[in-house]
Amino acid sequence: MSGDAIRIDNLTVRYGRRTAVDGASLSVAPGAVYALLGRNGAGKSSLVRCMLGEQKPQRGTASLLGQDAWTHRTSLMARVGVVSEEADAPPSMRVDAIARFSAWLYPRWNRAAFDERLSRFSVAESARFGDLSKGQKKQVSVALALAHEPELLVLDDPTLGLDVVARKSLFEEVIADLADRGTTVFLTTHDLAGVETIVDRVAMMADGRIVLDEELESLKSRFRRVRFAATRPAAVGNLATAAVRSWGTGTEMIVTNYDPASPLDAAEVSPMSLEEIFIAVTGEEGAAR
Amino acid sequence: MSHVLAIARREIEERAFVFVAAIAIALVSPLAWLTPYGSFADRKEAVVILAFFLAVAFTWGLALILGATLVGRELSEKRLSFYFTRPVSGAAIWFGKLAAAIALLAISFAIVSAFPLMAGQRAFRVMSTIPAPSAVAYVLAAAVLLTLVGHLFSTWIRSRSPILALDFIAMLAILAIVAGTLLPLGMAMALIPAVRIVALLVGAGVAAAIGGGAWQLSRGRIDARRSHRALSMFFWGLIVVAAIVGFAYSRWVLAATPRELAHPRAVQRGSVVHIWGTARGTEAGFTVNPANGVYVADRSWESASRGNVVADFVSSPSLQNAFGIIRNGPSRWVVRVTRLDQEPKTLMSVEVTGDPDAIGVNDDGSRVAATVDHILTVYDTASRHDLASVRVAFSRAALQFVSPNIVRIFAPTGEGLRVTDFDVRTRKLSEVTPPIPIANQYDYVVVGSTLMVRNTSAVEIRNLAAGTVDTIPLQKDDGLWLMRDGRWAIFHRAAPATIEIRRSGTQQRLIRFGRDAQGVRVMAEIGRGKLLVSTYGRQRFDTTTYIVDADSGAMSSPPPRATPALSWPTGIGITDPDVKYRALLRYDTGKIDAIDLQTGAIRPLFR
Repeated sequence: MSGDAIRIDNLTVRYGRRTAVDGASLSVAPGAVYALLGRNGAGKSSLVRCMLGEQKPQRGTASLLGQDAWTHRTSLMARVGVVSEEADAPPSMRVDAIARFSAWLYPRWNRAAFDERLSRFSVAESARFGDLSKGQKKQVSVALALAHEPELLVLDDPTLGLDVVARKSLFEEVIADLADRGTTVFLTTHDLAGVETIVDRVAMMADGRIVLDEELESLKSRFRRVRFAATRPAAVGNLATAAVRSWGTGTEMIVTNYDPASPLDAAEVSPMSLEEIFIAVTGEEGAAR
Repeated sequence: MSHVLAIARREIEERAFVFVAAIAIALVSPLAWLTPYGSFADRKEAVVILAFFLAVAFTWGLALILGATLVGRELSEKRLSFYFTRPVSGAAIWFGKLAAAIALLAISFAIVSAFPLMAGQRAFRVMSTIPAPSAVAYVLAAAVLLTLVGHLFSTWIRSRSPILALDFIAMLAILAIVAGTLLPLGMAMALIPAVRIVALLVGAGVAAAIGGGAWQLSRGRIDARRSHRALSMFFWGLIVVAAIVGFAYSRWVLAATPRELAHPRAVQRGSVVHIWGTARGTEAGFTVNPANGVYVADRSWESASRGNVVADFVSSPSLQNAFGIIRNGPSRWVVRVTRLDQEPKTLMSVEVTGDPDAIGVNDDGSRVAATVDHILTVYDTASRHDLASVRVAFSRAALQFVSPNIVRIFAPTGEGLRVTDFDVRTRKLSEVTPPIPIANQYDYVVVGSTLMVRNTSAVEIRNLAAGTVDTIPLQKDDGLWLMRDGRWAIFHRAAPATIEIRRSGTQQRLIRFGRDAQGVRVMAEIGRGKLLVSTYGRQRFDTTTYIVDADSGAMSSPPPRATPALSWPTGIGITDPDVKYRALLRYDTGKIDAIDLQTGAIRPLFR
């Protein structure tokens, strides 16, 4: 086995005739913060379920911390913290009962850390899980996922349905914990602006395939929005474009291989946000891969 | 184990409201106390009975609900990740949930029923023939069974998987195998093996449901369809194995041979022997041709034989006769005609409705007559069609084919033995003789045209062809055997044991047996003039068998611990030239021999 915290090789998941994940491969280095991005139905959740050993893929393998996720799920889960897409704790359970139950299952359980996080989130331990707001449920899930001090944290769309403040709080909590312990973090999210400042590497999925897997820094350095005054710019050179559209009387291009060492005779060259890059890669055109 | 307990505890905590419901139900039964009717004891009894029935209904209802929500609900609501994202195995999740369900059922049942049951043990004994602890165990066992059934159906239905169709097919296939396994056993009245197979299937079902739950969560995890598939494969796989084992066991039981019978019993009817006993752990019966050992399975109700052909009534292969599942309505029987030559061959098998009374077959087996519910019917064996029927007044009778178209009926009635001929062509009955006085309904024997009838003081030997009648006065304890050459052997069935040989009424020889013999009975004639006899001691079954030379009085003994198979009547008999062998029960070996009635040679009936 490699030294990767996560390794997925040629993973395929099918539901009947529909292929949800089509030969996906990726790897996450220990200590990295890795974001898997994709539109709804791109196959992220299926891939995460296979990665957590909850679901067996039709083909390929998923390994965590050097062990096969399907066959070693039970022992691996003692080393992995998971925040699921949907808060799945029983609605009738009180928060302290969930914590007590979890404490029985994990050899390393830091009740003090759990309580401290819960108080930071202002969630009452006596509250029933089903009575909590969506944001509070996520916060409880995060506190539960971190209380056994996992080596790997997997967050499946953790900000889904959260307000801006809750989202910010969640990422700050994750970031703070990462800063403390250097835990590997794998997350899927639609909140690209939220993760842009914390991730080291991103992958993008479309139609079940990994269409992009790259360091965030490198990705952002090669994507540029370039505007030309002319309708038909002459000196495009070797530029690869994800999109070309008219811009006033001129032309706007999304360039995917921008090189700062080769200046362009353009009216405007502007960097792009992760969200803009994501749209360029997986949007309607979806050509910039 | 600690994970199982942790999950069980969590599940119980989540469903603790069940105990509140149980307490509420427990408060219902004491209300019966407040009724203004009956005595103190009556009302106490009413409370106990109500409490027990409420407890049973509540526990079984709860069992179904728990079963339906044990895994299926979380699976369909995609909440099983709560467990699977934690370091617990699928098996631990299942056994934790199952343990919680069992604990919930037991505690709920105790809450609803404990106090009234403890307070009213006597009333419970009035209500139930089984002790309270056993009743509680049965109720809880049934509750666990219902929980498992609820879980199975919940998983199957909630998955909305097309595999459900395969489950349905598997269920039908299993039912077919089980029916094919149990019905033949029921028809053979092999109830103990049937019960064993049912126990095997129930045990396998429980094991399959319990193991299947663990397998389902280990292999299917949070995927409802995979979970369904894993459960179905495990469940049906184990059930199929059990069903195949049960089927093979039933075939093995039913394939028992007469040579395997332990300490068999036997009766001889004409030229065939009916033997029965225990083989392969169950009762088994056979109709055997003692000339060659050829047999057919199934203990017959009534039979008649001519040479190698036997006609008998056997249980109809219908559901009605299997285990007495349907107790109302007439029983169903089959008239069967079989040749017992080199290989057994069924010539005819016709189902009749109603209780069989009498049966007869002609020399070549081409015709059979049977009486069912006072209707005498003559069948053509080859075509299986009935040739003629007639209503008759008798119930028990002997039927004898005088010719293919004439059936002679010997029917003991209150007026005496009536002898009537039925003509198949004209469908008319005609009286052969006026009623002949008879001591009881079994005291007559017919061989060819010779009819021997015993009345209270004499035996009448009537030649129905010639119309001659001989009357021999006979004491109460005496019996009479008409020998091949016309001599009479009058045997004394009480002490002192003697046989008096007479020709035309004149004594030729008096044969005496030892003092220990408390009586003697002639069973058959061997060759010409040698009698196969049994003496019995003070214990009726302490028998000794001899071959006695009627001319010289010399006695030789077959194997000492052997006795001829009985035939009726026991007090009178005629040497039948068609009967070539007589079965001998060996008390020493527990087997059956056949004695050749021509030569006296003895050989094992089954090699």
